[in-house]
Amino acid sequence: MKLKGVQQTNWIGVGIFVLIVLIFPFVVTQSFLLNHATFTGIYVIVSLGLGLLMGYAGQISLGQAAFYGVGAYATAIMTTTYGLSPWIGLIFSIAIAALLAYIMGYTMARLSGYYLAMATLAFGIIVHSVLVEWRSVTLGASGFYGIPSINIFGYTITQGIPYYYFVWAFAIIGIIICLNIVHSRVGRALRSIHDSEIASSAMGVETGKYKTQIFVLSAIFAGVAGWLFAHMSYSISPSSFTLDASIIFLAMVVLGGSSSVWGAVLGTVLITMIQVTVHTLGEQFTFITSEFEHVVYGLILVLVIIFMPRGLFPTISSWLNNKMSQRSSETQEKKAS
Amino acid sequence: MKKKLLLALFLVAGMFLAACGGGGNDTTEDASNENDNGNEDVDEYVIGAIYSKTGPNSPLGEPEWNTTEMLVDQINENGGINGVPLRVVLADDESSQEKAVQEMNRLINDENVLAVLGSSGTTESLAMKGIANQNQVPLVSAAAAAQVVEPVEESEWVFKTPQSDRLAVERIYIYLNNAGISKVGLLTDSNAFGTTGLEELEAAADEYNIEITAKESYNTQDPDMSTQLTNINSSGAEAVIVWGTNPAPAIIANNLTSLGFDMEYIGSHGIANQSFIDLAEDAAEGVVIPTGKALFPDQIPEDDVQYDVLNEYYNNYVERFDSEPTNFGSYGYDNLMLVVEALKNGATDRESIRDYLENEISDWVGTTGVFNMSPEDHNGLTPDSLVMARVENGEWVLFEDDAAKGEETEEAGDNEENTEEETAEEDEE
Repeated sequence: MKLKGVQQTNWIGVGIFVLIVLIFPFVVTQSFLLNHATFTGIYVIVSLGLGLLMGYAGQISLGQAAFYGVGAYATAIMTTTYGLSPWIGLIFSIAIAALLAYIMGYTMARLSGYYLAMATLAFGIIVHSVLVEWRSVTLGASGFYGIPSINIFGYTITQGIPYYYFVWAFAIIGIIICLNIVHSRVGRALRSIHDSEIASSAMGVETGKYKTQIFVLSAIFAGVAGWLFAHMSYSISPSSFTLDASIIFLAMVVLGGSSSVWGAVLGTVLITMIQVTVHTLGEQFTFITSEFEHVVYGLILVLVIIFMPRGLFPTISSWLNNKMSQRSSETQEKKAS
Repeated sequence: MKKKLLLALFLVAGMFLAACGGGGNDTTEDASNENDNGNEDVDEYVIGAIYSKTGPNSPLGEPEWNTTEMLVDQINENGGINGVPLRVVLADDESSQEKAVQEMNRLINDENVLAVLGSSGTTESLAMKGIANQNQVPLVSAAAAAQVVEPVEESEWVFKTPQSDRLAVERIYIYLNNAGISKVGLLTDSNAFGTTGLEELEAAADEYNIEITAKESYNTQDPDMSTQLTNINSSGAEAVIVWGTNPAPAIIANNLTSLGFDMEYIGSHGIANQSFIDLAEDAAEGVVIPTGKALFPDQIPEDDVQYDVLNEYYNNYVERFDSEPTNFGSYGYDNLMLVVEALKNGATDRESIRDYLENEISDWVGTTGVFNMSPEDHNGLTPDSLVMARVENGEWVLFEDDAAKGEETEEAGDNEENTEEETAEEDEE
């Protein structure tokens, strides 16, 4: 039995997950669901970063949609206004999101808890206002349009199956990066900050440095997701990057369980499934509108926080573990007797 | 090791649940799809329509949605299109760009529609535009902003029926020129509608010798705009142009009345509805706006080419839904009927519908205006599809402002027919 902190990356789990992602488009031929799965991939990338920030460093960000938006607008402006390649756009998406997060993280390194939540909330609102008001650059509230598609080896990645695989390739790389960070020295340092910031700084962990670093990393994840989102459609608008979006990201992480990388993935998939279910029901029963989604989110969040405060994934996996270890100990006892 | 295995097992279970959840829907919908596809050419024409029935754009989307439902019923009761029934798959994008993208993909790939109508808002329509071009599906939008169909090179598959903001702006400036007003202050909403309006107002000002003395803006939910009005008044403006949708313009009308400034209030087509008057009450008196004719079909002169089509539509709508269709309903009407026109004339696949809409729509009489589409113009309307209205005794009243004169010079040689109509209208007055 290994100690929790020194767990190795579970490559079998990753392998199986990759397999499922690969098979999905063949099992589900409906374009509507495939499109939802593509969006899920984009959101998974954001919630992975947010999961690291919340679950491992214990910080709350209510402004994650701002980094997502900055990533999207950075590449949109670079590729459309300045005619650069989307791949150079990616560098800008990452760099600008990271830079903003660094400035934020640097000034906020001493904030935590509610204060940090408020600061990130304000940051999200400021970025949204800038996107709306800086009309000469962002074209304002009606949205930025004319964004080119991504080319890879002369092949244009269009919406549908190509974009689905493209997005999930990034998402899986993100998952692997997160798993490696979590199981490294940095991951342990972060977890110590999560459990007790004072104790860990007393033990010689540079809490401020780690917090800034993880904040920047989560912004980079959001920036990449924004890049993927921008090049998916022809246009983007500030309405996609509001406080609502930040809160949905938060809900995804809390629902799935922030103390596990897979929790963020599970939470995102579940939230998307709720959306799809509500939509399908809405087709049959006209009184079920999208407002239902919010009711269901709220209900599930309340239930999860009351009954599974660690989130779905950690709770369920530890429950399964207990069952199994019980059974194995029973068999051992039988053998012994 | 066991732990790992468990983790893996759990993941598989979870993912399969997810896949099954999707798969379940999949089989049922697929089955119905097969039916559609198998019979499509023979048995029915399938068109998709995405309107914002819920969310912030619902005042636009709802009449569009209702109109579409009503027309489909009417068409099918009268034996369909050349004997083939029409089916419209209606989808609500909830005024969200992401949902619009998802619905657009669903309609094109899962429902296999011939053309897509919508959406109500500019941001949603722009997102759908990209997919329409990628998949080569004709899209007829109900959004106001000109960028939905401009630049033309990027809008091969996209058309739209509402008058672009540009036309509404030009109509206002023509009115101002005739009224002898040259100094105006602008008060615009900071949302998409207001900002595109502001851009067009700025861009066209020089052409009509209008001097913009002040530019102020407000947020959609602001409760009081006295400060902005005071600034505009002190800048020496003779009139204030307000660009937004209810309720803010009604609040501004009240502010203006209580401040007692001597400025004419000119609104946008965004307040062309009874609810503006209900909200602003007495302060609404004398407010002038450009509007489509669907606001008051009974006031349109009987020899107007649009008279019959408008009145029939308006009366049917009021009878069925017990509410006004507003201009937005008329966009929904034209969107659908343009595609129906193409289908009637034998354009029954995506490409030929597009070609038909681009090349064959000339002097086509709709409820919004008389359309003349061309490869350079995927909107096909002129400023005379808008008329000026003023609030008199709590009602919108059509009035002539000698605009015909201004327009005659504007469009001389450009479109003779329309000028004739205009003069006819004038004679009637």
